[in-house]
Amino acid sequence: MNVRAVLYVISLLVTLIGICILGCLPVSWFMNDSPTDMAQLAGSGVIPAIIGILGYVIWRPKSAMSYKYQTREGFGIVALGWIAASLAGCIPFIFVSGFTFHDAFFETVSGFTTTGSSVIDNTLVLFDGSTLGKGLDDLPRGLIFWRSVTHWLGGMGIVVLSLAILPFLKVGGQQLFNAEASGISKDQLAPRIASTAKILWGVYLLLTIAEVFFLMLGGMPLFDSLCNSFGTVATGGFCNLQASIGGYDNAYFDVVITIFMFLSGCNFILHFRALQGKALGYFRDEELRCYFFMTVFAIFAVAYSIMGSEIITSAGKKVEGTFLNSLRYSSFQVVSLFSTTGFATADFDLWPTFPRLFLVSLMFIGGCGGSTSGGIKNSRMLVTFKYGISQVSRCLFPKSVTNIRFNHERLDNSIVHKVLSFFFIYIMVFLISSFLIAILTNTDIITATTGPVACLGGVGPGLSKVGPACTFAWMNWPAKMVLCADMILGRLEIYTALVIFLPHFWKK
Amino acid sequence: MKIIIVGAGEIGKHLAYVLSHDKHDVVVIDKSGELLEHIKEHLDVMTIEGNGSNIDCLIKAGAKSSDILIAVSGNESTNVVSCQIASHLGVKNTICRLDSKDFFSEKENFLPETLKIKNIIIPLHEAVRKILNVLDNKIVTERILFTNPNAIMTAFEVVPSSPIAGARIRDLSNIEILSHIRFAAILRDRKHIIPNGDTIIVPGDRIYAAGNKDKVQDVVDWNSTDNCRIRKVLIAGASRIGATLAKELYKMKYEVRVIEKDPKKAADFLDEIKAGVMVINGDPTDKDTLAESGADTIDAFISVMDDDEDNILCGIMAKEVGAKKVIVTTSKAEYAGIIPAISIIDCGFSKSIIAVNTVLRVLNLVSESMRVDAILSRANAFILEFTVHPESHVCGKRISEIKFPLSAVLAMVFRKGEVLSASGGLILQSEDVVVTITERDKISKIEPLFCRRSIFGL
Repeated sequence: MNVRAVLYVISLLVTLIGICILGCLPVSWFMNDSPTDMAQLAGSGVIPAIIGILGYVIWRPKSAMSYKYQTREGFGIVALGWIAASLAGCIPFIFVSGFTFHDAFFETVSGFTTTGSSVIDNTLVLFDGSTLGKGLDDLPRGLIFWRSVTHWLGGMGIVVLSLAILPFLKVGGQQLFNAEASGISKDQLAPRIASTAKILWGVYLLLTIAEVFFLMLGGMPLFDSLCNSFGTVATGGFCNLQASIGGYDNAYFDVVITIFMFLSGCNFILHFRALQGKALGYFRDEELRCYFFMTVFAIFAVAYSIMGSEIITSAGKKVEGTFLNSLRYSSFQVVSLFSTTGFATADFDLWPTFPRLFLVSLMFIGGCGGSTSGGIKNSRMLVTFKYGISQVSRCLFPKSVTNIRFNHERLDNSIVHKVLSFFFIYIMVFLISSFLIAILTNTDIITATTGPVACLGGVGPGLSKVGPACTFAWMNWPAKMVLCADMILGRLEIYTALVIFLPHFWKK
Repeated sequence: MKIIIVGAGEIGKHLAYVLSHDKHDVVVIDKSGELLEHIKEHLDVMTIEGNGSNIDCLIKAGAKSSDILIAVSGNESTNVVSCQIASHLGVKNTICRLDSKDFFSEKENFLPETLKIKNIIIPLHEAVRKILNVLDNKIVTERILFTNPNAIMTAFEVVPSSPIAGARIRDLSNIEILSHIRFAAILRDRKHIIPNGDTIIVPGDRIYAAGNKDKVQDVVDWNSTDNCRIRKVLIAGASRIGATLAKELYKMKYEVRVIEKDPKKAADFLDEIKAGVMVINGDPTDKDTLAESGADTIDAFISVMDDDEDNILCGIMAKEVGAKKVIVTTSKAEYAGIIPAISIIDCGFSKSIIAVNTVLRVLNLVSESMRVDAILSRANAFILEFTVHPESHVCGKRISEIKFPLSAVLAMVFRKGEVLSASGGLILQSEDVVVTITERDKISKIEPLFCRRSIFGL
């Protein structure tokens, strides 16, 4: 790998992060943050910007010939770029609110990977009556805004963003795009990768603006609707209220956010086609059909199982378990966890075992390829399922030809193998990190398993001690680092993040 | 511009490389997913696996909104059909690669226009022309032609006995014969050197001399040794190129011999060419065969077999046996960069680079963007013709006053059909055509100089 070439692009990326942090200053000013907070925020934006510019000067191409980027460099830029971006992005948390490094890093990684697991907590009360750390409501608004912006930047991919807006990067080829985009089939919408990136970001921007519009229509303040839209469209899950969306206790907001969470879990290429007037594409897509029907089934199954008993919202309010109420909370929760957003309106950790287990299984699957959501993805589940069935039928007819078809097209064996091994590595990573969490924190089995599930899938809340009413603040720093690794592995779809551990990757 | 390329072979791959680096939107169609995979790994283009003569496939590639379709697959019929479909779908310009003109007949009034094909290119003919162009003199390695028929750029090898060997270019300025031409580029050890006053010419250099045809020829003759003329030619391989070449050479009264391995092919070839050409059936990579065909007394040995490696090997062997000048053709574009390193081989021509150049030349006529002529055998250098726009920066200026990038050379100027040497004192006028040699990344810097002045600089 050409390390200089990779560092050159990463410095640009870090500069971009710095500029984005500075972009939160006006918000901080409008929301009447104290001057010290604003100065600290400005400082924490200037630092990455300067580091980035320094790196750019040091590593810029020496001669007129620019760097040559090949597959290796592509993976290097994406995998190391995400780590660098998280390091740069955690500076505001340390500077403005005095987070420890590991807390700030966890929060930023959780933001960029659109996980939404938080360490910002005011529910833990120490013996002397003081609260541990600061709650969300005590933090400066500028910082809260930055926290949501990290979601938005990470949703469609920071590197793809820089491809779209930095034409002078001149990083040709598909490597970067493929290394960061999700799903099996990476359709190209335009002959140039930069134009494809622009189209996807355009759709993404449009969805965000639409959601802000609808939320404000229902009376949500601009700041809140921006933060929540960033969290929704990126399928992130950071809310500007400690009680998440349930804190608003407004059915209209629940419905709008549910719809946008669902849309963000769909393949963005289909949205683009629909905008072109080919809305039928939604129905023709096998993956989307699977995603849609599973969502509908899950909503009713969960609603049925929680009907009748009292529902406790994430804000701690008790509501009656009528049909409509259970439908409202179950649909929000199902879509939120299935699309790997992780917003909460109800404390689903208090629900019976069946809906809890069901929700955890949905977290494993996640949304569709080509969306901002995480998890294994519906397309991979479908392919694995079809492959499984074909193997069963091969037991009876060993010589039969079993083509694996997806969206009416035969999949190459190499793709099927990649999907299967993805499935395997995903489960292995899940098991290993569960063991690590169990060893490191000595917690109960539900926490130790659902924590990694939620982080690997980019969901946010798990069950038990990492449930919707709790945070990850109580964990020790090694456990947090394990979960950070999970989040990055999950967001970069395992392979991209794992290649950097191959010794050959680093050799020239 | 949006360009569709049908065929991801050597030509298609190289075209995609050049065009995508020139900031065009490129879509490549091919049946072979493997070739496409390879292209996609290295280039920022869109690829579609499918048949280029399939209408659905072309629609999928966006033919309805494309400007140009270039059909360069190995199959002639596929090329013709995809051009027809493309023009039906509204592609304004189509370029179709063929191996011969056999598809069409003027007598029957069946012409490319009948099929709505805009341009036809026959790279094979170009390759034959290229080879014929260097067959008059041993030291000539390449001749590049321009839109002006009087102009030429000739590459010749400096032999130790040459009067300019060992001289500094500045000291040559008072020689009358050199005053009308310009040394536009020097290739030394495969590297492209930009000649300036201090450059010292060493034997083995390949000098690209640009200027008026006759004047350049005078310089070439001046540098030739006495026994540079070529009479006897031996062609290895009765491939399509070999056959065309043999016919042309025979017409030009050369003494031609052809070696062909396959007896049936050899017999067919003899039937086709009738008489006057001696055809030898044998393996050209076999020393005895070479000796039998008289390679030791031959002036020029041309290897045009289908297999690149065979061509290179038997070129080397022929030189060992005693051939004076060895010319080799290859298909793989990569080999074009290696052949200059084999000093035994005098000239190497890459069929795919020739084809790419042909396509680029047609594209320039199509887009009128004053672009490109030829790629200087892969030395990353381009030869471009620009027309001086009346409102441009350089119009009315002396050449010595123009701020040119260091790696760019102004080779010559065409004014109303006349070829002028680009000396520092010449004042550029509007509608002059200037020929420059430059590296790829400097093109964007040079182009605005000659074009209309605009705020955005284009």
